[in-house]
Amino acid sequence: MVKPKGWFAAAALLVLASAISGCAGGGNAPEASGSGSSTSAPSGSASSGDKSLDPVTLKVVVPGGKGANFDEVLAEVNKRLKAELNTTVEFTIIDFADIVQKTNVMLSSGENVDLIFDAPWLHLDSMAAQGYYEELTDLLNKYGQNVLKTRPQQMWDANKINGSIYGVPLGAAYTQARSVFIRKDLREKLNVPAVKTLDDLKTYLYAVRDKEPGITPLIAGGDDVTYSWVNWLIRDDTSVSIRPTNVFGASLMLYYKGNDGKVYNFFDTREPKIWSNIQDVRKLFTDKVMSQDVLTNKTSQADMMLQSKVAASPQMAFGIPKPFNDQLKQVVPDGELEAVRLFDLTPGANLSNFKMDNFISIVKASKHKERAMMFLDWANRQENYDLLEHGIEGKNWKAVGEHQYDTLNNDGGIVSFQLMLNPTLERDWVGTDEETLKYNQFIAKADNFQKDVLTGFTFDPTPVKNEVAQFSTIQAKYYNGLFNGALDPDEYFAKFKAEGEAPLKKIQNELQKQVDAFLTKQS
Amino acid sequence: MKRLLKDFVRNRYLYSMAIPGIVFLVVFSYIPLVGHLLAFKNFQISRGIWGSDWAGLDNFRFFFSGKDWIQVTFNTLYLNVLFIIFEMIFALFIAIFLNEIRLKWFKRTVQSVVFLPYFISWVVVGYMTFVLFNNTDGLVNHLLKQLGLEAFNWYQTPWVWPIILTLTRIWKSAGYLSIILLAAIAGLSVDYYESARLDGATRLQQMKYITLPLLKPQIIILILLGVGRIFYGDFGMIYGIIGDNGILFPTTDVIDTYSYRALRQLGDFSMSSAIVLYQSVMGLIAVVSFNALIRKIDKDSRLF
Repeated sequence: MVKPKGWFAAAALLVLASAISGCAGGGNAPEASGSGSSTSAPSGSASSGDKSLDPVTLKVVVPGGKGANFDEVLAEVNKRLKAELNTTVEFTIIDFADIVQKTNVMLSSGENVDLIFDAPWLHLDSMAAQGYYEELTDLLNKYGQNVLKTRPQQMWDANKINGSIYGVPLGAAYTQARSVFIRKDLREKLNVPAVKTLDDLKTYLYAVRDKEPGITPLIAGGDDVTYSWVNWLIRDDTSVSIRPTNVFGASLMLYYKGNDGKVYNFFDTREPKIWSNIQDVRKLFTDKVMSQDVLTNKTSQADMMLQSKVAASPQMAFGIPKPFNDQLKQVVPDGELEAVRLFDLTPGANLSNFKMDNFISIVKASKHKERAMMFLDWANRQENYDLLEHGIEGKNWKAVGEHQYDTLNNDGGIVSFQLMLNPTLERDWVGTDEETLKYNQFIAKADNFQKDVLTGFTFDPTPVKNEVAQFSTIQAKYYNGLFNGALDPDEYFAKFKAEGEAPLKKIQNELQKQVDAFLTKQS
Repeated sequence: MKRLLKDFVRNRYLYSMAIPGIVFLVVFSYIPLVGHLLAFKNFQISRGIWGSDWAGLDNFRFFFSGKDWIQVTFNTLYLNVLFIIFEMIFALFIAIFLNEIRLKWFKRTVQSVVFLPYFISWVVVGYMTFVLFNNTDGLVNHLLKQLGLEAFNWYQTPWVWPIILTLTRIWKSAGYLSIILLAAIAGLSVDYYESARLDGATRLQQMKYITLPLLKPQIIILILLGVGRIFYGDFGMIYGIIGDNGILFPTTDVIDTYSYRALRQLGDFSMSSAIVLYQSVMGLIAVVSFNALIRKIDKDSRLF
């Protein structure tokens, strides 16, 4: 009768189970945790590398999908690891759609995990605040010289949480590469000149609508705020420098503007730039340029483009990855994608808080923390980095010079941005066109960015967590609909405001308070 | 007491067969009851259940201080009532119909066909409904257009979704329920039917006056089981089919999806425990009152 049904019940149960097993395991924990250099006799296999190390299997949890070479590359990874560190790794790869819930349950149930991917857009700050992650400074100094060396000091400084390192920042650039992918073949067929600006893009989209009835002109992200059409355009508008505060992911309901250390509330300001974009995208929707299924679409935007169902979509890259064009050609033989880059290349025009988007953390409950750091250090060496990212050299890819690579039939390893991505070891594909390279190199240089005054600041939502929870549900009703054109702003913005204004105001005040405290401490 | 002990000893093998069930119940149903404690704590995993601070009723605030909780509680209740009633009606139809079929192979085939959807995951069902109802190249709209009718914006029309959800639910679980009922029908004594036939009762009369009344206890138990979970929305179903489409929330958002959305960024276990406690207490009230109602109507059919 009381059988737990629904995932909250199940989760509560897991917590309890873990609490019980945690208590039971408490007695002999120290024995098991001493896997570091201090351990006594090595067990068994004399053939394996470092004799001072016990054999350990590390559990690594990352989002993504399994590539074609996964098993083969993993075998090679484990061969090398066994020889050097007497370690093997097991990857649990979770689909992006499930990453929030699954990692949540894994962590809170105390599942046996050593390394776990987290991110500010996931739940890094709250998980770190709740004590799920190990502070890494000591481990880094002791075992992680390569991890430290491959990332510039600015990156380490900016990616602390309340002065502590709870995750190794993963990233090779100081903002996300981004553009809108369109179909070059369609554009040429429709006699639309090269697309340079937003207006050009609209010309292309309307031309597709009018002359290509089988293809939806545009789709944005109906389930991910970052990819909502308004967010996408606002990001590249350096005339206003509006940035999300990350209290609710990339939501712009609370935003920073310019570099004045103020928190703006969209209900109060109805920021003209954002508002006009909302009205614009509404028009795109009613004109049937934006997909009518933008909110419910179940296939990723990239897949829709590669199946030739959609003619434009926002993507996080400055250029077209080779596999994309290959895949598209299987559906449309002369199909070709091109990237419309609206990013502003003026040095200093873009702000950056040098905050990385992705992190890898060592779980506090792990019994192999030292080994986990040794593994990360191992992964941040060029030969291993290449193996993990591109696969086996000579078979899947080959090096071209020091910083480039070329694919051999099927390139691709196990992980990249989920585990070790850094600006020092990352290679560019040799076939990348010069324009794309220009953009990629621009965002990889810290000096091209103006430093955000809030660099290093993280918001602690605990004092207003009730309001955050409440506003999250209210926002879920309206945000994606408004920011992708599916809801009429004249009608629904007022509703949104009526319901959401009170909790948002409280959160804004708390955030502003914390920002002010941070800024006073800085100066 | 002594008699009971003696009974245990005498029937020890019979009783021992209940052990796995009891262990299961204790581990998965009774021990987790302690977890309700989390609802009143500021739970932090590093400090454990006992080490975390007490929070009073703070964890309930986010849910009850807005006004959406009325809407989502109503939706949960309303959808579940629809599901329970219509599933039961259709399951009864299927069971009685199957029971009347004499061709063995045909009966078996139909039985399998109606049972099969039960094993399809909600995620897949979500894709299927999308293929049917989407606005770009949905099959239903395609059909409407071929019939010369206007295409319909399914995913932007909240009121149609309780109907679609109920239909999906019937399609998915009525077959499963009907198997349970069919087993009960198979257990009914043939004597009733024989004497009814002697008295000249038609097939239809037999169904109405023999099968249905004799099935009453099973029907009531199945409904009671459903009522016990009436405050638990089917997360897999609602999230699989509706997803993050805010336009449809007014009629489809249930307690589970609502709190998932509220807490997915915070990842706060105490707050979610508070919701579970709310659902459990309401479910308990529902079961007890439904049982009391049954007791009033028909004393022998009550569960406790």
